[in-house]
Amino acid sequence: MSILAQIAADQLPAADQKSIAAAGQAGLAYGLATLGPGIGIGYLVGQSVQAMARQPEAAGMVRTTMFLGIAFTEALALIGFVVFILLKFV
Amino acid sequence: MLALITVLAETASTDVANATKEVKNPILPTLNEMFWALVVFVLLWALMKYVLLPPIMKTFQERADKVRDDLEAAEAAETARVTKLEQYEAELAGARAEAVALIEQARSEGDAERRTQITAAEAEVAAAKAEAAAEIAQAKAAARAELSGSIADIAVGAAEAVVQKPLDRAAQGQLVEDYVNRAGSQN
Amino acid sequence: MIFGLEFPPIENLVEWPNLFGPKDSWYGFNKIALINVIALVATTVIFLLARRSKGLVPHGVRNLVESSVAFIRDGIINETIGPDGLRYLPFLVSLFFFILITNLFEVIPFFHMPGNARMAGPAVLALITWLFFICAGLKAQGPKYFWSAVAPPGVPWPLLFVVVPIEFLSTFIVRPFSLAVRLFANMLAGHILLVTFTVLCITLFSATLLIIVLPFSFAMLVALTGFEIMVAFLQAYIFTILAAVYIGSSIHAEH
Repeated sequence: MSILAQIAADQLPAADQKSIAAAGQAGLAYGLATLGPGIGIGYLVGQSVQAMARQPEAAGMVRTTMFLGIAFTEALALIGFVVFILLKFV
Repeated sequence: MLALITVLAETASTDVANATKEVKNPILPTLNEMFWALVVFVLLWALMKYVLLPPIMKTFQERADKVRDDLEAAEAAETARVTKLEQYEAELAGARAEAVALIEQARSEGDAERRTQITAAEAEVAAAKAEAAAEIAQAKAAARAELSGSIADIAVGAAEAVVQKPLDRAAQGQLVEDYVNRAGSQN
Repeated sequence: MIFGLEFPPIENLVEWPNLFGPKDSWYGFNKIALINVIALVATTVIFLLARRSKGLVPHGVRNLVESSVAFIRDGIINETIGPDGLRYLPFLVSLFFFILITNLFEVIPFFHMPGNARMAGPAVLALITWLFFICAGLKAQGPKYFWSAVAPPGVPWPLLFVVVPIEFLSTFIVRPFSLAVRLFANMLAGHILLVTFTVLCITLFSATLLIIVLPFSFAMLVALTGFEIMVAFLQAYIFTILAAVYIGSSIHAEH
């Protein structure tokens, strides 16, 4: 991040220092926002696979619920992405 | 209504225009795109509800009806088959019972016939036996009578010849008779 | 310009000039509106084509349409609302097809722009869904819907002071917001990803030594295109099933 910011600072005029800082913060915000949902979706899908392996006859119901859970968990990461866009381009 | 929308849109669009003068915001929705999305989606919804989806649902319904009818027909055929089978089985059981009854009857008739024949044969045999016994007894009596007569004659003749004098034939006859009876009872 | 990579500004990626209508007017018809209209026409044409073939055994287009509708009926409505949710089928089918086709424009040549990568489409759909589930709840339960939606039964009354604002926020504010943001952010992220790899491929297509990286970059672009097609289907499915879940939770009072 700091290297990117350094290179950008070398190449951009001094008036864009604010956008450089914003780019750094945006990267940090998005990186942090991926952590929790990443763990959450991994755990969710792992447990769903386990449930489907134990009870293959309930696979359809588990899959539907799994997609719902993914949708809810993913929302946090996507809000992080929106914050990234807001910080980077606004 | 349209005027109100236009006024709202004008204010909103001027706001957006003022905002985009300074910063470009790629997140916020723009009014013209919202308008077109709303129009298109509501149109699609109405089309789907009244034009596009009913034939599909009708096809589903027809297919479900056909499946149900076919299933019912199959069930009816199965029921008919089962009843026919039961009927056949009942008929078969009746025929078998009849055959058994016939066999039984024949057997009992044969038994009765045999029994009467046996009885008749036994009766015949018994009659023959009785006749034979009677004949034997008669022959025996005749032989005995003949024998006793001739023995008495012989004995009296022999005794006459020995004593040379006439014997009382009747008294001697009686004596021989007794003797022969005694001897006959001994064998 | 980072490492010699000329990345276009994001306005060039997602904002389109009007095809007709003055700039910044409320009826300006641009590429996104064109994509929406094409989605409407394509859905109509597909369904009308499906109508043309007769007989009980479906073929071709009709098979596609019937299996989609049957999937929404059996896989979404029956599993989330129940058998009495069949009257919401037209709404959910139009949601699914509209979102799916506008999403698929992300990978269709000469468009390469998901219609839902602008906030307008997802916002409108989320607002309609929001109104729809509120109206469905009011129709099913009457005015007490608003109370049963925010107050879960079995909560002791002092807790209600905490629970009711949270439930109100999550039901009436967060639901439409997260519906819209989920679809929009997914499609925008996929669009930016594809643009990034395309720009990378164009930049690497040069007479320098960097051209040896080009096949890998291009392979990644192809793989990501397949991935984005999957995401288009998945997001349409998730939006539809979430709408069905919200409708189901508002017509059945929790007990």
